Amino acid sequence: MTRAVRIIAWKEMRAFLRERILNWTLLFTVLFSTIFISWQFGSTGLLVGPLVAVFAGFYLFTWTAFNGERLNKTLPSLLAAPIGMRELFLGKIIAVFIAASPVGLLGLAISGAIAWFRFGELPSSSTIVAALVTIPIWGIVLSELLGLTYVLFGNPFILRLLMIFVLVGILNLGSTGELNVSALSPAVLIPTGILVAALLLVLIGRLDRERVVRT
Amino acid sequence: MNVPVLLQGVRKVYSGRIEALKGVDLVLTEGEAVGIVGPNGAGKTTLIKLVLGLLRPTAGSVKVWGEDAYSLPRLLRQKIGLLLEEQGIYGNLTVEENLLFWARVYGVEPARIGELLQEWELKEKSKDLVKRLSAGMRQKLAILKALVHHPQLLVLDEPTSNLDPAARKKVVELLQSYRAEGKTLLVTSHDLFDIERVCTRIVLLRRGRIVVQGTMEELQRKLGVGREVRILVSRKLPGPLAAELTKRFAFRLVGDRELIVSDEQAETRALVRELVERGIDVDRVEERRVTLEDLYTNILKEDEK
Repeated sequence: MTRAVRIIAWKEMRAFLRERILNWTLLFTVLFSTIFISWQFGSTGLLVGPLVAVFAGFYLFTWTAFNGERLNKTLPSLLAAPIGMRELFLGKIIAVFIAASPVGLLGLAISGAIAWFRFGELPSSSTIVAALVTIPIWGIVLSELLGLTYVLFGNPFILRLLMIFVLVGILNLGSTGELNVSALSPAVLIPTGILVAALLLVLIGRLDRERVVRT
Repeated sequence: MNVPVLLQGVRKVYSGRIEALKGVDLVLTEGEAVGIVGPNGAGKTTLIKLVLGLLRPTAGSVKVWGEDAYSLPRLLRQKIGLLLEEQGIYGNLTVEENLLFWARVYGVEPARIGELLQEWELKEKSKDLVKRLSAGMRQKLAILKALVHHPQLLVLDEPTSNLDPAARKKVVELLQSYRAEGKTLLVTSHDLFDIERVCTRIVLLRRGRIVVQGTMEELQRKLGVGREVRILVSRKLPGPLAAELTKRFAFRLVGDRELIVSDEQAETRALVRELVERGIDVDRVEERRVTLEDLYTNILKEDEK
């Protein structure tokens, strides 16, 4: 990790810690969704917690990180500084990952505890792999996509609407027991996620500075 | 040796129709302080953003230390300090954190931060979130952010806006000291008084073109004005007398009682004598230096003709 990436990540972490409303909203959403679904459906809802955390956490923190630059009007100063576009994205995404991961773990822990106490079930190894590896990797992909959308199109309302639909969809699938991501082979999802994340990073490195400045 | 900034035939067209710059040639040599003045929409900010590599010229070239500004190597970017209209400070970080962040971005050890905060009377506010600061404090912080790494080239867009007189004076003195250290400055400002005090060369930009450029003395020569003498008379000049004097002397009448003469001592003496002989008492005669503001107004008037 380069110095510039570390500096950006440090700055974002500081900013995240000050976003009290965002942090409480995220915690409340994760607690509510995991407790409610796990209580009702046991192990079928085990992945809901981490998934909600990933989508809500990665989305909200990415929004804070990128929209913050727009609100503070700091992007031109950053782009004129000795920082590359890729480093800027990497720093932000690492900070988002660090901030969102504990929330995902919390979701998994709560779901697991409820499933065990209420139904006497323990999460399978594939569920744990999905929650701890596959979903965070795809969270990074999501974060890159969101970041790209922010720097290229500003803060489109349609994107926020789409994220709400995704969250509602996850909760709905979780509540009907149809959500079974762990059944999908991690051998496919993990490398695919890494590949997509890497390709997006290449694309980010090629972004035109003027295009970003003028958005 | 490579000059810090070189613009050759630079055109910048936005969205294929708005032409912000129409063929600008500009050179900034080492240690020079150049002030860009011009009305709103003249192209000042576009020029600054081209130099900082935030925009790509539609035609022509922008070089910074001999390298293309848009693809300037990191090591050279590190030597530039910048202040844009968008100040580049984070509202949700404290004053100290903002300075720490920018110092680290530019690869500088943040040891001097405490000292800088003290010097700029921000020490007490160092733990405050920037979003709670006044506009003037934020501007001070934005200036510190631009200077925190001792840049070789300073590019500042409106550095003295929002500042109280004491802070403004301090910024002007600081920029003067930077200039004295041999660093290069490119400054835009609406405050022509500050530009005049800081810059060694002034460039007037209008509708995307450089109308005129030079030192204050050169601009005065180009426009045929130097110092002026203001003669204040005790009563309104009678119409026929005013008409007669206008034919014989080079002066302009401002209002009813004020005559402005370009600084030709013989002309002034003769005019004062004539006024007294014609029974017009002279209340006051004072020398007035032509300011950049006067020149600016004159140039724009000339350009509009």
